[in-house]
Amino acid sequence: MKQEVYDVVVIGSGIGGMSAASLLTHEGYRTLVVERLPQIGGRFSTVEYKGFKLPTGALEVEAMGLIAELYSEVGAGFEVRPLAKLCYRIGGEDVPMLYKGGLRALLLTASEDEEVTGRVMAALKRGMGWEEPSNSISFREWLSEYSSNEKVLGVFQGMIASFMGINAYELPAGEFIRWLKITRSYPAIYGHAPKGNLALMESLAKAMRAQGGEIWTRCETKQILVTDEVARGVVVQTDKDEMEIASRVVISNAGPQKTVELAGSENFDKGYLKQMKESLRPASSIMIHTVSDRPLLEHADSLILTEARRVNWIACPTEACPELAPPGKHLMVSYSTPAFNFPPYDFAQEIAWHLQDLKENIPRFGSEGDILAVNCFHGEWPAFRTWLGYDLPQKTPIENLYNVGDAVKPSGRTGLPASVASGRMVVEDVKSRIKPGEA
Amino acid sequence: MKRENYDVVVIGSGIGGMCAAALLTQEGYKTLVVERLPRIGGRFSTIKYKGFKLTTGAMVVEIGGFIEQIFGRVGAKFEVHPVASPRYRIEGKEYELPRKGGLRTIVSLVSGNERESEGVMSAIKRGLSWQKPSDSISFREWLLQYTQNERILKTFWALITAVQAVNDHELPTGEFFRYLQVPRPPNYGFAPRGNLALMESLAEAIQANHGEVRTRCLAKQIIVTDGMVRGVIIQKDKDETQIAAKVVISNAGPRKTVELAGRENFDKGYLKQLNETIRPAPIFWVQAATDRPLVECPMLYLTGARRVNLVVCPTLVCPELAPHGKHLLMSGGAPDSSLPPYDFEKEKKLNIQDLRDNFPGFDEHTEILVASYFREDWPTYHSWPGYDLSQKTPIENLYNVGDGVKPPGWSGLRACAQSARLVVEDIRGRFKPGEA
Repeated sequence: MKQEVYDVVVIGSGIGGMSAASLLTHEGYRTLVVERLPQIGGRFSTVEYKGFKLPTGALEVEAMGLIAELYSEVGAGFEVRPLAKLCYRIGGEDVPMLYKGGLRALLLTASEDEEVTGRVMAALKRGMGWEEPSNSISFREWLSEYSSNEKVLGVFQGMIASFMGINAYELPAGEFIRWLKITRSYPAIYGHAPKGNLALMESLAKAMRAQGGEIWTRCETKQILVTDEVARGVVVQTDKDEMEIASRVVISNAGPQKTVELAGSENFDKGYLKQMKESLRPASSIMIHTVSDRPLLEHADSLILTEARRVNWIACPTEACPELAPPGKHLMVSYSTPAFNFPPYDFAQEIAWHLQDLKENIPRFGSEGDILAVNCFHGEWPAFRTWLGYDLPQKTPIENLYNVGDAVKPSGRTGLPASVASGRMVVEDVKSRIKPGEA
Repeated sequence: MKRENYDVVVIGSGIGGMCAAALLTQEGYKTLVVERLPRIGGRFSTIKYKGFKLTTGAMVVEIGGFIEQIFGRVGAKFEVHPVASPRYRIEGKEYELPRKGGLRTIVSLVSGNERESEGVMSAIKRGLSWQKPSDSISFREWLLQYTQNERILKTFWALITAVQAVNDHELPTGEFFRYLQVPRPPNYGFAPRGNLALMESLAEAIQANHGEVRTRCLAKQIIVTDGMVRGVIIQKDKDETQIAAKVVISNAGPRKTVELAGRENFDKGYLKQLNETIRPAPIFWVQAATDRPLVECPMLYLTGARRVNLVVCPTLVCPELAPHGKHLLMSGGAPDSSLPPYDFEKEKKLNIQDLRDNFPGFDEHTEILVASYFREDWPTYHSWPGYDLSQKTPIENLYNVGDGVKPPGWSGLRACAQSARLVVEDIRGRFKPGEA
């Protein structure tokens, strides 16, 4: 078997893996990313289909915050065009989300009641400024102590399902408050990558290669090598042959279950395996792409629904980025979350409800929209690898073997920034433990 | 009703409440401590019985650590006589162990097999230097992955029950590792005039800084409006007084705090967590008078007994605690389940049998003064290690201190003191003295 030596091997080129790899390369670590697919990015990538650039998972990108900081730190180009307008649909009206006082305005529109709004806002404020609520109950249960108004619940349900991929009753109360605290710390400006998300990932890959990092696609990891409970490298399968790569550190972006499978469950302690089994639970969602000759959303290019059966978020990426569709065509992407995030899923029924919601909420959907593609995210290709608050730590019990990505999110984080944050935390730990070239 | 104003009211004068009050008065906060009993100190106090000064709870006092620091900081006298060096009785022989590497020595003595003890110690080392094991299994389950040797298992059980007050099969694994990482005091000792004297010197420091400590003073109600604490209603003799305060700190245990403030003022999640988490740790406890010291060392860990894991003889360094010519022998032992129901007679028999077996002449030279449980509302700890609540309650400006809100990894008196320090730091960050 051929042999190679690196400081760090990263398995999987999702945003978590690429964040860690680009930062480590930037710090001088000899780093290799191995990706089994022909293209990088995982669920933050692009597929070309009938002249459209469709997302493989994540759609919108935060224009400020952790992702933008990562790109600027490693010297990668970051082209993201901001949305024109994010609205919440409440009682048939599209209410713009303001950067300041936005939540209060939404709740007031929903409840038409100053007292209820004041009570809920005061409880949220106390949760952020005094003591976070306990995770022993769900956010929905927590909220019901302050309001039983269904429209108020609808606003939170729409928000939680859109940003976190789960339902309000599935989210631990403390996690919501931590998320709110974090999102309030910088302006939540979202946008789209005009050339698709793959282009953004390639820009990170380019920066990484320029600094001596390597990325091998179509390269499947067969095994993580472990002796005496310490990670020693990986065995990979390339087009040509099997190869052993020795490394000081192994970072897996393949999800904790896959990491255990690759390293051998006999190498993990029982407590970790138990925690993994009891905690991890993927969030699933359905994404439908609809094509039309003129935009189907009237007042916004990103819309959160608060009263629909299933659909919680609709976006029109081609408004800011017409490059994503053939000339003259418009793309509408809608997401729905099942009412219950555990298998078995009845996807046929979920899709039917999704389409019914679109018919009822988007007036010209039936007459002008053509369905281009329907994607169900679940199992091995989920919306999120685990619900918020059900994450594992980044470190595994095997020394120098880490996980990154959306099953090891830091508390209170969701979406792309959560995976980036996990990557950064791992990099900080690696830096404190070994120096570049010590391998 | 009479009315008074304070910055802070502390309910209960245990070590947690008194440390908080001492630190706050020193910072200039106008502070009142109310204690329902005639004496202060709670489970860190002294009762006189047949000429002996008996502890109401804590068996030893930490020296050179966090407690002594607080005494020093507030100018309270800290009179404690040290144990030269604790001993461990292992396989019938007594050992003094180095502070560093002590655990390794014990495991290697018990095992007698270098490879086996190395396997256990390197797993512990990895847990400390790489990743703390998950709390999803108990320490016993975790340890079984590395050894099946019953003598090693038994030794860990004895050490854990002695310092963490629950059985190894009840202790979340991560909590064992956090315990090893929390700074431990350099030494232990005994207060020659009893623990109450130490608390009284803390009370003097509070009074010197214009704080007040009232005994025989019952907290009847914690006043809450709009999710914020406003003060306390207290009763002394027959008189009720309403004390307005910006902050209320309860050292009465989280359950009592909820009862005093009214369940309806707490959010459901907190009550659920309280209900599911808090579980008192019981220890069976013997205090005996002896006419000669039955031990050579005032602090002795037993690693091979049925129940008894720690024996102390404070009169070896503090003869003042007993009538002339007499000695005091105390032992603690954990029942095999820390959850009720407890079989008092069975535990008593096993604990006393352990003392007989380990100390020849026990029956001839000993009179048992106290044989009982710490449990329920007078427990060893208000909650097991790893089963604590946070110091803040959902009610703004209402905090708990003490051994139901220990920070992770902390045990003993220092856990209570640390909870107090965390609360005082939070208060300092939120408002200044006199802002009430």
